[in-house]
Amino acid sequence: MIRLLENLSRVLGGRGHGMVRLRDTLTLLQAAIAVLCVTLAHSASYWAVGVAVLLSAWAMVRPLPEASTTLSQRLWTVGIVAALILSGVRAFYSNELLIAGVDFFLLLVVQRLFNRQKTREHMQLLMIGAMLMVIAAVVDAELRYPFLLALYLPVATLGLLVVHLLSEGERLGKRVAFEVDRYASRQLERLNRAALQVALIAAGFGVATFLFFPRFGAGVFLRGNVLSQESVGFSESVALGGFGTIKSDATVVMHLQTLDEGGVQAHGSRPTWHLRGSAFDQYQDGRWGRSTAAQKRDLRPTRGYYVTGDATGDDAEVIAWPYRHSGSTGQTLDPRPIPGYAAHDELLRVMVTMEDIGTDLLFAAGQPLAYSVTPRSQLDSRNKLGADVDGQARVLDRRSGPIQYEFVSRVGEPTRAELQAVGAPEVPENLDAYLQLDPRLSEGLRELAEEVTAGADTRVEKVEAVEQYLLRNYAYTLDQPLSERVRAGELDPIEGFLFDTKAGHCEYFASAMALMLREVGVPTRNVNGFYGAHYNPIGEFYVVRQADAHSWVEVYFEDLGWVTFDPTPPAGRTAGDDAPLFPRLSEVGDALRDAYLEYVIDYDLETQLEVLENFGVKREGRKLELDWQRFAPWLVGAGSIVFIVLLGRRLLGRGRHVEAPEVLIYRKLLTTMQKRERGRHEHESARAWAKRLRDEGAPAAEVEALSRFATAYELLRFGPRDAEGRVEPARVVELERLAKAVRESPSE
Amino acid sequence: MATRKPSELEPVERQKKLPLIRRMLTAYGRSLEITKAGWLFIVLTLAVGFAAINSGANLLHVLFGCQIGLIIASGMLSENMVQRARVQRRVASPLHAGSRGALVVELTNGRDAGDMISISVEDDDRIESADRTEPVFAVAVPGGKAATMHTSVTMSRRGLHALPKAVVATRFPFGLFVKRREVSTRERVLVYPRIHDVELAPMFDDRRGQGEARGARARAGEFFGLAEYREGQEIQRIHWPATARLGKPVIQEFEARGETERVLYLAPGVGGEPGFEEAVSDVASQIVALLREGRVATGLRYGDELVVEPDTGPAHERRLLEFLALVGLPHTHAQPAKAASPPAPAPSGEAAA
Repeated sequence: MIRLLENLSRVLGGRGHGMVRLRDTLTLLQAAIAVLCVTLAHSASYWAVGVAVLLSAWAMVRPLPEASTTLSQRLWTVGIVAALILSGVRAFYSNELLIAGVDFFLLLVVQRLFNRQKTREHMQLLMIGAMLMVIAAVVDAELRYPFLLALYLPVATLGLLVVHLLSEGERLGKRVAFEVDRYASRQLERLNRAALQVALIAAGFGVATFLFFPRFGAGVFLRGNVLSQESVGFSESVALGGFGTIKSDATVVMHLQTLDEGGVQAHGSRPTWHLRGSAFDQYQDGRWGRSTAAQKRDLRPTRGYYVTGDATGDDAEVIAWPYRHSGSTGQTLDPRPIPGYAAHDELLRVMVTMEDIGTDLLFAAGQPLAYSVTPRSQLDSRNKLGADVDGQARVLDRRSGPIQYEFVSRVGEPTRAELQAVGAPEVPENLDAYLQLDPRLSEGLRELAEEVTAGADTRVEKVEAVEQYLLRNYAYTLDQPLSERVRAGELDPIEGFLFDTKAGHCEYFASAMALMLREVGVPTRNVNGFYGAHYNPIGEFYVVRQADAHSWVEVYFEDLGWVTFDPTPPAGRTAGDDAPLFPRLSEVGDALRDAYLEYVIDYDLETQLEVLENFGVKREGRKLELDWQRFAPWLVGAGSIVFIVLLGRRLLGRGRHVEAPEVLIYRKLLTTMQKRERGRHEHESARAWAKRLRDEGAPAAEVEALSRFATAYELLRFGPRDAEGRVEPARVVELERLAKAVRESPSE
Repeated sequence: MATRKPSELEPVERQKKLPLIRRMLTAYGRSLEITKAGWLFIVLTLAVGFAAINSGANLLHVLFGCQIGLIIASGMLSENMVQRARVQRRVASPLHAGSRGALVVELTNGRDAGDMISISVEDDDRIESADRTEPVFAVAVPGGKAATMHTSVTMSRRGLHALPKAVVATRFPFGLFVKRREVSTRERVLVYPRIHDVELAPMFDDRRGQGEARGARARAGEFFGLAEYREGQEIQRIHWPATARLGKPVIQEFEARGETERVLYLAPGVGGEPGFEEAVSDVASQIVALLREGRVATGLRYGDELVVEPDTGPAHERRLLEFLALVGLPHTHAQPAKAASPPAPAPSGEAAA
């Protein structure tokens, strides 16, 4: 560890020496860890980080002047003030207060590195590093943060210690400053040990505070990153092609926990849920959008749920409180019966934790019947829901950060017979929006649709005909090839897919099906969301990744409602089904992350009281009472651990007894001489040994060399030493040289 | 800038007026002081604590705990460091008023286990004093071991004085807080009078000094005779055969090698009076110059009394300077109240006997 630090100091520590170089290295390292933290948390502009890294490298390799000139100080002051004003303006206009602030901190880091002559600047660097770590703690709920904090803490602690020593040198005068710089690095092992002890004490207090400090405040729910990572496909208007770019992105966007009785046995490890998010009724110029004529339903709050419904009533009756109130699983809704729909009461109840993917839409499988959003804090009254057109549910007044909600959906699908029974009804006027077609679409599309559906009489037959046609005749690809005619503007992208390239991804399949059905008078809408979920057996939850983003079609079947159809080949639906590399490792990572979010990020007053109860501390009204029967085992356990640690330290300390270097040299020489059969007798001192060999007529050169070695060895071993009991390294080197002379002397 | 020399009788140490916060922090025997960095760190900790409590964010609670831990660890470790420090100071060279003298500080880690890190021995900054020592600093002293450090001390007045009040201080581990402990023993040192450069030539021109005697230059250094040993004389001049024979220490005397013998005169006066102090300083300067030049056996007459007979050598110089260090001063003046007193030098009358 110490050697690593010393080597790092040589590389990173600029042109200083001794403690100064170590100080430069440590303050740079801690700042680098802090900057990495905020960068990974997406709280800094990448360009600003890049510029800061380049400038910092320059600051470290350039010859550092003895003191900053007045001119450079003024220039830096002007630069900092200008940057402060610009950051303020940027924060005001771009609403990026956090990123503007962090970028400003990066500039301060660079400025301190360029003017790092005195320890004051290094202390400020350490403070800035601490500030950045605090910012990262607020915005980064990922598992990487504790690892980076574990790395940051000892580095910053040792940095603080070294800065302190050098500042003592500055305070006490040049003589002490010189001594500290030159000689204190010899004590690096002791300093490192002290810093580690302090870091452990700090970490211990950190853990204790986390566990036992009462959460007085709102107890903000922050299960995930505060900053959003926008995902394509869920905005007001969606251009074709966006999903192709994210189908290989394995980032987890949702954790699903089923709340019904079945669990993984009922749903399987790869359920084929279509988690619908956004829906569109208007197609124009290769883009899906929404019209004002789209269908709108209601969302009404009832007993902790927002239940879907229309003017005739709710789609379901709430029979039990949602999970956030009751904490229980099982059925909570009784769906309104739909004549001719046997599976209308097959429900799915899931708790979703959704990362901030830049949308206020809630995702739910099948036909959503009810939602219940977990507030971000006990005092938070926001995160109310509102119904949007096409069965979309939105969080009103959405704030950045993750969101947790429960949905109950109807996932039982109508049978083919039930769909067939609907026949081929007239489309009412209020559904005209779902028959809209871009006037620029060619006649060829209509002709193709009519050709494909020729002979299909009922609505479901038409749907099946188009679906089968697409499944059989078109290939799935993420390459999004555009035909020449599309590029030339002669054809719409969907027509290019149907007539020219005959290959595309889910958006093309779904759009083609929706438009072809509209050409033959079937009301359809395009739906974007996520397909399927992956069960994580370690964490016992399902995950949904970015790569599961998918597009499909919903067809209107009168009283049965909108029914899902998916014309994309099954292989394409599951593109990016697993994490691209090391799926098992990915599962472990997901499970760890989930555990971290549950037990660290979501740790709240309730859990805290549970932990305290486990320790035997009970709350009786305003008093805390100690249950010794439960507390005693913990006390004994803690005492035993302390005892074992102390005992181990003692035993290790014994075993770690390091021989003095001169003894090691002597032993090596003894072995050599033993091989020459002129070894030392047990009772002999080194000099007596040399004398005996001389008397016995050993080779003169060997005896001479041995005599010199013996004298030097005895002086070194038993002679005076410094206050700390050490010998000068130069004398050890000299002894080694003398031993070598003996070994290399002719033995005959 | 000219600095006023303190009078020999006025007290040189005054209690400084400390800022209110420091007075509060050091009341009732506490020894805590918060540095600027410490204040900054406390403010940052409070800000993080406020944010943690306000938001309920768990990671902020962890950071808040870590910061509290650092503060507590700072307090505990720094207290531990100053408690285990043992200090001994000794003067390692003649000490003249107003000049720097060598001081050796031995800092011992009083406990066998654990290092003592970042310890300084420095003057107590709560006391305003004309006497001062250069601070010393030890990065680390292993358990049970001692570190010897060299520094300098400047005493403002002649006489027998305690070394400046010192404290063992540490800002370990991060310079956030200062912990001090007074060094309980204040070693007393004999401070010789202030000296200045003296031109010797005019002194040799005047050959009518009292007690003047010429030696034969050709016989300088030859054996002169034996005499009873007097305290303070050089040990190597003891004639061991004669000492054994007579049963008491006897020394050899040699022909003086100097050209002259000179007895300087100091008019009686009271310590602290500027004129008298100046005269003491002049005589001391002349004694040092003459004896270091080496050719003049120098003695001292105080009023009518020949207090030190003429002689040469370092021991004789010390005898003369010791007399001048204390002459005219009341005996109690230089005694520090609680000093562990080394044997005091003999009073001037005895020294001259």
